[in-house]
Amino acid sequence: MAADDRADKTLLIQNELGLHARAATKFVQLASKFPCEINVLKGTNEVNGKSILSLLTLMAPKGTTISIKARGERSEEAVAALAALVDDKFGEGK
Amino acid sequence: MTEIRHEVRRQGLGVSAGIAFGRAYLIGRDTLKAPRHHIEPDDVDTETARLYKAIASSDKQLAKIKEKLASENESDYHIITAHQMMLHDEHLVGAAVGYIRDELINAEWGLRRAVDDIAGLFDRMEDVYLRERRSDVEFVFERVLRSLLGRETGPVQPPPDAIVVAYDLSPADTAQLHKAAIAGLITDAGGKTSHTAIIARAHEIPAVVGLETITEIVETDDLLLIDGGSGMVIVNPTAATVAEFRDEQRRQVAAGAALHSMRDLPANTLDGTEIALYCNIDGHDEIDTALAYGAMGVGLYRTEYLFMGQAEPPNEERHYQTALEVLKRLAGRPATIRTFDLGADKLAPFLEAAELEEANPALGLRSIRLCLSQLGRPLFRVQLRGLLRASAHGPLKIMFPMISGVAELRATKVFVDEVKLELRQEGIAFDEDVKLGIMIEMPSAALSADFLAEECDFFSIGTNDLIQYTMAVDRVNEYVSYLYEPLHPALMRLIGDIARSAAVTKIPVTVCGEMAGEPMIAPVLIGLGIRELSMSAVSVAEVKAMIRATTLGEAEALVQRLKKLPTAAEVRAMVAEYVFGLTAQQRKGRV
Repeated sequence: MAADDRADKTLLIQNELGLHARAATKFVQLASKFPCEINVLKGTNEVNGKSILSLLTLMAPKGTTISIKARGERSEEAVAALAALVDDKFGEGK
Repeated sequence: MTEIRHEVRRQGLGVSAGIAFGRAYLIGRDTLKAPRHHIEPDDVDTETARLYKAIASSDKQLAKIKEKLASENESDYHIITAHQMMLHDEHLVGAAVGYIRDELINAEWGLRRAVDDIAGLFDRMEDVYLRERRSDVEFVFERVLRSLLGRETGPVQPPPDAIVVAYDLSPADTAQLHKAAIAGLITDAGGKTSHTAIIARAHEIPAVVGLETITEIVETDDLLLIDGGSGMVIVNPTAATVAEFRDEQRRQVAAGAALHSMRDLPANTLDGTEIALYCNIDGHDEIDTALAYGAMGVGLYRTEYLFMGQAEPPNEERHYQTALEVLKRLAGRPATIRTFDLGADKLAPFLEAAELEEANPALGLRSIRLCLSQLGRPLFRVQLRGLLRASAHGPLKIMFPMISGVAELRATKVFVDEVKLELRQEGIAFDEDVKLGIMIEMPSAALSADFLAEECDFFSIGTNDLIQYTMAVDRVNEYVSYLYEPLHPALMRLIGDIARSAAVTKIPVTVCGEMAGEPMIAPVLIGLGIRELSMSAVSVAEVKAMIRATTLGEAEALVQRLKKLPTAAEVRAMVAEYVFGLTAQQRKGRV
């Protein structure tokens, strides 16, 4: 396997509304641009990061710690991009 | 022939205020049922293809609705994007296809089962906002189901002034509705944060949600009366009910209009005495509202909230920036900022950490005493530096709370002079003539008002505390709160004395307690010599209306008569009689 075939990162949800519909929409839109498999974990719960319904049912309000796990082509790039989105509070400013 | 239908009342959740009267326009939902039947293994591919085709067509419809929206309403735009993503979500579509193939059932049934699985997850959520997202999945389901059944609906087009009745409204529905001139919205489902509620409030359309079965009761063209404030919905109201509500509607509209028309008028008595009306606020975000209600400036800015609930006390920059923001929003109008009035029931973390263990904190280390103490001094210095710096940028006045007498006033002024000296030495600009005033809120200050008036620039009478300390009564204590009486003769004497003392040295005196916002008491305060009142924004228009209906001469004559009365009850009765007389005259004057 190439070096960038897998990547993981743990993040804190910081925006006021948490991983709500609009934030999840942005997350899925971005995740879908990458060929790799992307999963999001909260505790022992692991869901598909390209599925908006899965992300919504994960229930991650402000202050939740989540992990992003990517497997396959361009994994590192995908995780870096998604982490930037989360850290930017999904562009919501608060 | 129309059958006679009886008036029916239903109580829901009012989510957008206002009264609306109109014909019902039903957006049918429950007529659609997902047919269920088993299929042959050979038909799996056909059913799956049907499902994908319906999804593609639903996607196209949503794209079209979105196109019309452009970016005009961002929140709708994004939620419809989310719905489009749900349409292609593996979690939903994959599961539906799985049911079709494994259970050999038709596309409609497969999709319904997949939706039920997801809806179940949402239902178990604790977060109200997320729980309501269940409805998003249902909207997506319904759209696909309509495509599957070839029952697509065109755009929702209610006639103007209709009241739209629905089980629930999808973002796609509301996106189209808010362009139509509808009179109101009522739904079976929904809560305070449902799309219907949000859109209705944004567009000021009266709305009631959570009516549970209203779609079963109402038929298209039924007459409806709805009150988006109370949540009342009346189906086929009688003529008497309509008349009653029309009056209420007129009253609401008139009150709003009167308030608005009053905004730019001065608060002058009929014989031309100018009364200045200011606002009491806790944060600069309240200023715009205050000005909209017609306030001339800020009479009391309470700075306690900069401290309360904050881990760290505010630094100098925070005080400076906060005061600057106040001045900026007031655009040249005056602002009176009160230094922190902490202690007793208003605690900040630094105070809790000090563990003062006072037996009687209401009479303890608080307000100006705290500011001048070892514990509070450093914070007081930081606040004064911030406020003084801001004074270079606009008409800012600084006010000190709970001054007991001249000794305390002098100690405070010595401290202010020290801080001013520091700033001068550091070459930092401030207004050398910044006005320093005091709250008069305890009897000792009221009774030495003549001395105090010689040594400060203005007074503000804090009537809430002044009444409490004069009557020795805690106004939130149910056993004795009946003694809390703004119109007690003793209190009127104190206010009259304070006003006279201020007049001798020609310093302004404001009343800033709740008493100032009571329209009925305004003539009494004016008669006692008060020319400035500071109150919460919502009271400004009503107080102004009262002032504009009275004359200074009448108000002074009223006070002369009140002075002869020994009890608060008698005072109140005479004031009520006077005010009633005024409004009667006003009515006659109009006819």
